[in-house]
Amino acid sequence: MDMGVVERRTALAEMYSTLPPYASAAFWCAVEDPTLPLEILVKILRAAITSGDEQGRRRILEWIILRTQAMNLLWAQRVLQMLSLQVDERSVLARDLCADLHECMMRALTDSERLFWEENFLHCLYFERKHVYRSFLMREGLWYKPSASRGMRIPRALVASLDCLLQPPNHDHLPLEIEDEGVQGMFLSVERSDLLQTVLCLPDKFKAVILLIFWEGRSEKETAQILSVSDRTVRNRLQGALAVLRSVLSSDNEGYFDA
Amino acid sequence: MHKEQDLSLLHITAQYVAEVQAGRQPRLSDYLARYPRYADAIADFVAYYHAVEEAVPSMDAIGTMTTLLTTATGQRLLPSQLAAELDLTIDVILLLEQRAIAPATIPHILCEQMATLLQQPSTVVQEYLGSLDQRQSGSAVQKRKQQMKIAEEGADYPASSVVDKPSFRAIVETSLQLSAEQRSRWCAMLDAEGI
Repeated sequence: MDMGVVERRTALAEMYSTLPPYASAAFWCAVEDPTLPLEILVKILRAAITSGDEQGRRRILEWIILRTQAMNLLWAQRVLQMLSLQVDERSVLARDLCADLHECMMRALTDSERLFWEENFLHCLYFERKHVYRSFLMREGLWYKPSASRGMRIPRALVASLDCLLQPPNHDHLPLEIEDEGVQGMFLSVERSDLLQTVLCLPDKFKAVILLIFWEGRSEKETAQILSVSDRTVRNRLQGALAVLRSVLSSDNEGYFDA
Repeated sequence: MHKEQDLSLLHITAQYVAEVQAGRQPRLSDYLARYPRYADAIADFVAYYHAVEEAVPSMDAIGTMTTLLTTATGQRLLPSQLAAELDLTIDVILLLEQRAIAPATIPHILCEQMATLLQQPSTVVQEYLGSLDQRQSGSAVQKRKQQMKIAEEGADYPASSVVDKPSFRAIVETSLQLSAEQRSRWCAMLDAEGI
């Protein structure tokens, strides 16, 4: 295991063990110290639940929500920034998103089987927010809105690859890799940041292939090797992703893709 | 997904994020090749992380809760009392404490009231509320906001943009704790100040 993880676990365990006796005044001071790691708060919350301290449970839960509220609000704004919305819609939807997230957080935090919250709070929060993000888009019928503008210039990598074909380095056998130009063209014309958003809307089985080829710049062959699948599978997934992308783009402003 | 697999996925993706945050630029292909069982789930998370989470400031970046509440404590004011005195609620106070609200959108009257309560010059309060913004302003942010083309190398630029801080009005409108009366009072004050 990574040494950093072990050190972090040890530090958290030590911090937890040095807390003042449960429910004492000093204990609540320590709990409401804004520098206390959230992972410790989760552990304390679960101890409160186990001991049946309903008042303590509420107080700790409320404190966790308050401590993460600013960040969660910024997250909601980021999510809404990615969508084409009216200004007045944003505040209402931000509220809905935060409410959904807090509900999910409360469920997760009180579930003692979800141990990773006691080890890496923020990372668990990422997953919770990912879940809320997806549910929210599905519910609002905004699973995908093709509002992104597409780049007009010819990508540098494409120009470089054409040069490469015209001037092979030593006039030896030139390995010609025939790739699907339609797929390439469509994905290459999408802005990089928009590509990630587009990928999010694809079914899971297409995501790795698209990211490897268009985000990491791998060839189809390399992608097949990395994923331990055949070249044909890679091509099929590319075609599948293209079909999805085409349907999304052709469905104009009210584009909706149901995975 | 099975709980054990779920935990493994959390560990794997946490490692990826730790690498990104340490500035190491991990390669997705390494992770997919190393953990083929989780390839789809890893790709799903990585796309989401770079599209959404990377642009959201962490709690450390937003600011640690010290100055405002510490000063209030020095004046024997609990956070809830400070909130009540200002006709606000604790959630808004914490956002002010964390300097998570766009400073230009905070009403002048609030800064004045806060300065009186905390027995501080209003310029000190204004500086505190706006200091993080000053740090984030400038060409660095503009550069980060530039749209990048897919054909360029990923290492040269971030995939996402920086999120602007919410306005005070947005906070007031979305607060779950403020009453309707408080909300309308603050909106009227904002209107009066033309914010």
